[in-house]
Amino acid sequence: MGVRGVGLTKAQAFEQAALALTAVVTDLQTIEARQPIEVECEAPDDELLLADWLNSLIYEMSDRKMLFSRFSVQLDGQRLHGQAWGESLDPARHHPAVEIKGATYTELRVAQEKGEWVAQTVVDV
Amino acid sequence: MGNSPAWGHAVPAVIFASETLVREMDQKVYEQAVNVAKLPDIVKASYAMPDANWGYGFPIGGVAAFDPDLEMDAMLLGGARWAVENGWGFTEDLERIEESGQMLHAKPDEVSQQAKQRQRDEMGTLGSGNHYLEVQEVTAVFEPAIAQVFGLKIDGIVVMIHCGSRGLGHQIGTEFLKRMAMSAQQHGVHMPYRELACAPIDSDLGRTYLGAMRAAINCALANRQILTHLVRQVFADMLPQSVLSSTTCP
Repeated sequence: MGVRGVGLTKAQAFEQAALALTAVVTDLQTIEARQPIEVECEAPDDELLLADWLNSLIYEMSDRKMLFSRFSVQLDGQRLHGQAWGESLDPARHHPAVEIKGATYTELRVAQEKGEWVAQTVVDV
Repeated sequence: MGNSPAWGHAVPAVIFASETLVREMDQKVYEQAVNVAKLPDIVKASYAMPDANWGYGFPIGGVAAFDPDLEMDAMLLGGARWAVENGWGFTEDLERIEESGQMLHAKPDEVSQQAKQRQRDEMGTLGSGNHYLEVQEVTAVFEPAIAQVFGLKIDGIVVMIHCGSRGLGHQIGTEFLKRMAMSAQQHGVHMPYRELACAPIDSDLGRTYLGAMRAAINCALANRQILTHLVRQVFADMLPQSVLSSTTCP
């Protein structure tokens, strides 16, 4: 499943990509942005950084058994500091469609085009 | 770890004391030291010192070390063989599994803590995606001689399970994909597509990956064996007359 985030800044595109990631699993509207977590990533280029960001969220979703519906990303060179807000997974409310296994490097792209930033990749379900 | 395997097994309870002190020691110390010996992830033994006396479940003067990775690493080394040794199946099941249920030369130390953490609650689970557990009925036989080898006959019931190493395997894949992509230049590998990240098999990274991947294979073999035995138990509960066997029927 492809996920793509578009934004006026690179950080916004990363945030939107994270929303797209969650949307693969469930309706974003069903998730209350109650509990925050922090994510730190570092990678040698924007594309590996995007993959790292999404894979970090996938790990947190798996480990904490949570879903997230709000994201904030700060980029500093090849470092990413992110926050995600969400709640514990509740199958009765969230009806998760799939369990995301990981973000791949297939169609992985972070680029600026027509005044917007695009951040995309394919995630394995 | 999940709701399937009972992690941990008893180790010895060892009391360090003179004969006099042992004879005078509160009897409850022996009972508590033995209970501690049965705790999950305990390493080597449950110890009681010469001044041991009755405590809150754990003897005052008791000493024990715990390694949460102990059983995890045993599973990553032992695969389906580990599962059978821990009560999830029969020895003869291993005759029907690739590598006799255990991939050799696995290196649990090359598996990250995140990968192990991701697996802790997933042992004995099927997962999603293309994994499945199906109860199937044999409705046609095209090669009778081959069918007989597999114990298949018309109207027979077969349970087919496709599953893998779950979160641990995915995490290993994620981590090594990045490491190989970042080290491609160093290894003289030109990658036309980044998703073809790779490393020479005889490089340090290649050998590290092999060790981790073999551990992941053992995780998959163990998981599938646990699921197989759970199916066996369900059938025994629901259909007591049935026998689900992984061996060939004569």
